[in-house]
Amino acid sequence: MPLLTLKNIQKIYGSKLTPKIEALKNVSFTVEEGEFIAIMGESGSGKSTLLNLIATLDTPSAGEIILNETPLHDLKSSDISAFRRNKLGFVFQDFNLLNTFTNRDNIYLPLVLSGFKPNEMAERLTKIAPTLGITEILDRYPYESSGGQQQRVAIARAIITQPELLLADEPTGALDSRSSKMIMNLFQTINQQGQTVLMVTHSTKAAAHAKRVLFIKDGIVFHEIYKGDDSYLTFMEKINEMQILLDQGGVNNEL
Amino acid sequence: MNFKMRWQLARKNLIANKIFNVPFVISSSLLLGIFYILLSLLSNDYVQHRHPALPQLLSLAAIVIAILSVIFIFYGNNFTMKNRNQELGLYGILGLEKKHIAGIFFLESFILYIITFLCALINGFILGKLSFLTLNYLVKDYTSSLQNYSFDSKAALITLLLTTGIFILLFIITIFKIGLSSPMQLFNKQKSGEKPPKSNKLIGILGIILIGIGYFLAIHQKALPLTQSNISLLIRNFFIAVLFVISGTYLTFISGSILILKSFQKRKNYYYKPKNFLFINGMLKRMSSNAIGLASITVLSTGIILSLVTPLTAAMGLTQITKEAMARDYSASLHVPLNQKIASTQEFEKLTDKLKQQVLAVYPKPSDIKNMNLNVSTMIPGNFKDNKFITIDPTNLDNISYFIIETVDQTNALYHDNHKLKANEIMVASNHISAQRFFSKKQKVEFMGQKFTALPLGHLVANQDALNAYRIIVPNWETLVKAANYYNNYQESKNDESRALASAEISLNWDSKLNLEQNSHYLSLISDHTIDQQPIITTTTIDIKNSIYEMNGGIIFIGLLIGISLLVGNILIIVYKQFSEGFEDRADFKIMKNVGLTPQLINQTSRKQILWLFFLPLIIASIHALASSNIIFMLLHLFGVNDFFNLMQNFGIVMASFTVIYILVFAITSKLYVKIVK
Repeated sequence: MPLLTLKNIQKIYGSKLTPKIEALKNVSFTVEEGEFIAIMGESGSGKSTLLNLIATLDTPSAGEIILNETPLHDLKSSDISAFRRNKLGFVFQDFNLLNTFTNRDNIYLPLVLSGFKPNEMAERLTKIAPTLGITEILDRYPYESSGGQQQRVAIARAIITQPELLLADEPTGALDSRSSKMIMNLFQTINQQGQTVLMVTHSTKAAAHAKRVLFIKDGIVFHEIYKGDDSYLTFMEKINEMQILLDQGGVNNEL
Repeated sequence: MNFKMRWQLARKNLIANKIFNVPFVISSSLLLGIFYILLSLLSNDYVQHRHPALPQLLSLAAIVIAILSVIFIFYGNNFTMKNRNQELGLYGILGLEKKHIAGIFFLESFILYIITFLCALINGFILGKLSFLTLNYLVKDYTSSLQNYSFDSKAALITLLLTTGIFILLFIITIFKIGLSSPMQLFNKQKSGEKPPKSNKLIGILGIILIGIGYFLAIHQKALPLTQSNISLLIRNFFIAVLFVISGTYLTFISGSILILKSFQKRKNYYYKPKNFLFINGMLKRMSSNAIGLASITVLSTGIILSLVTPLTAAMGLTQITKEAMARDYSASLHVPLNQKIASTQEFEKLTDKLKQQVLAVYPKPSDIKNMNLNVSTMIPGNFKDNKFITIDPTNLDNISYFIIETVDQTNALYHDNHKLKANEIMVASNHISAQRFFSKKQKVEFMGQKFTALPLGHLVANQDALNAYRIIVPNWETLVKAANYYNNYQESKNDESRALASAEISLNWDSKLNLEQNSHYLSLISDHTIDQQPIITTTTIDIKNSIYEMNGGIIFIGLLIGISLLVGNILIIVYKQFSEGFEDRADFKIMKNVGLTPQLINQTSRKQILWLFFLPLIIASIHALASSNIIFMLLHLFGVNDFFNLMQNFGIVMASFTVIYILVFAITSKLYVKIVK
């Protein structure tokens, strides 16, 4: 049984009065536990829509999403927040940290909402803080931390709940190349420790850290490639080639 | 860039920013309108020929309002500009030169200026008519009508000058801001408001200490004997206490609140509960960005409460005292030496009968006279110490008090009471605060060297009779004569002949349905006569009463106008504060939702925070106001207020009505807030 299953997902925006936009036509794929998947596509390809649907921030017009045997459309609206908090972790492009909370309290936020005790939270944080390299900045405010540091705090907030699936939306989009590399290495490390990661990006460099890359174009999954035993650079070249092919519209082996 | 384009941009900007501009125009035109009202009343012929103190009070109030207007209008403009930094930056990026931007802003300011001034005149004129009627009502003048109040071009001109001056200054400040900063600076400035809360322990503690000192000064202010130097001492103490409390309030809001909230953060088991966690952090954020606004609301609210309570109580006190002291409009009185001959009740009655006959003789009909009563009193220097009424020490005349001695029959007649006193009972009231408190209960005292029971007297002592007076009601005329001579007996000589006899004033008081002119004629006829070689002295209290009522009305009116101006400023600050919080919260709510907060929890905690923020200033203002009640009472004592309960009653009324208005404003602005957040 895969961790995440998407079956014939369709998403249409618009109402009776406005012209309809089909953001996702028909998307199906599965994610196994322990995978690290990058979803690539250009702006407007529907990749962010896809992530929002999995994140329960939006609902599909048709089709089914199942996370660990729970069909998302079965969730009651009152349970959605708790579900999001306990089963999913989020990393955003612009970090989404609350400036008036210390870094530590930003990380604790989902745990506090789930009713954890202070010592339990501290225990969990001590486990992950060294890997992320944020031990020194915990009592500072996001405002006083660099972009790379803020994103690492955001990752800590996402994984401290030990989510079944970690979702990342352009996690390196607002960072310089050095910080980006550090963040992507971190994602790899976290994945090696057993965390399933699903990331949306249009950066080839970032995507090359994943184990599998899905390409989305015009609302459908056009193609996918596996890293397998390729080196980072080889995989990156393959991704590049695939993007050029997609641009020319030359790939016909739809999934 | 031609004028048409500039005009269109300015017009569009004004409409786009109507959420700021509408409250700005409403509040500034109201304030300037009030300024116009005060000026127009000041130069109004009718007002000028009333009480001489009125123009002086009105001009003082006009200055206060002008200062308040300037402060509030600058605050409002500053707030609007802060929220327009991004727009300014965008203009720069789009390639508008600074002179173009200045041109647009000039047009915007000019339109706002014209609208504000016209609204101020309309407000001023309409509200002015209303206040003229109110003022007339308060000074008990029912004869004047609206014709006496017309449009005043001189007041309008001065208001125009003030408005012009304020707007020119605002425009200069704006130009200065545009000139100094680069587009990118402006673009980013709007977001720089969100900084983590910083606090300085020392400042927070200092704030609380300052409030403490202010409270201590206010609460521990003792009643002082009423002398001129004590009065200025009292006023000085009051202002020192006010300064301490205001500066303490600002420091406490800025730093103390954050210290308290941070101390909650240290209690981990309490802090890391979902509701507390969100509440404390939310409050920290709001406190750090709104502390000055909140402190201002608190100070203003306190000012509103005090500026309404104080004049109201003062005027009520004065009116009551006047009523009690001058219960009748006309009187004829005799000065009577209290010798042996007069000491018996029969002789006394004979004398009063003569006086009564004399008065009745001059009026054509007995029915011209009504409510006639007899008042007998004697005023003797004396002291009250250690529960004893004693004669004064002629070698030490400091802190001298006076005894006003009356018989119970006359008191009953005057107030339509039905008191009965036994031979060893007296009733006492005093205009000295601590003495009045002492005599508000039954007390054992020594009177004329004998044991007496002092019962409380429900009626007050007028300050104008004497500073530090005791009003002593005795069972009968014989006791009065005895007591008067007993306390007059402070001269050292034992020789009966050399002792000055005490004397009493016997006065017959009445109202009349005839007019003042006719009565004056009859009074002069009465004063042509003598009784037992003593001249009859006639007086009327109508003039004095009228002037006191006018004074009272003026005081209440000015208190009302200042209170309303503060209220307008206060509402303006609350409205802007809700706006700015709405804008700030919008971004945070999105993040919280993404992290997995339920919308219910977000709504719940934000409502709790807003309620706290809203009621905190009200609660602290109420505490400030109550802490001031003691020193306010001491101050009001100068106006003849002797009744602490009366003051507290007015506090209750004013605070309740203020709370209602405050809640109304909150309800309206909360709707705006919800609109912004969603």
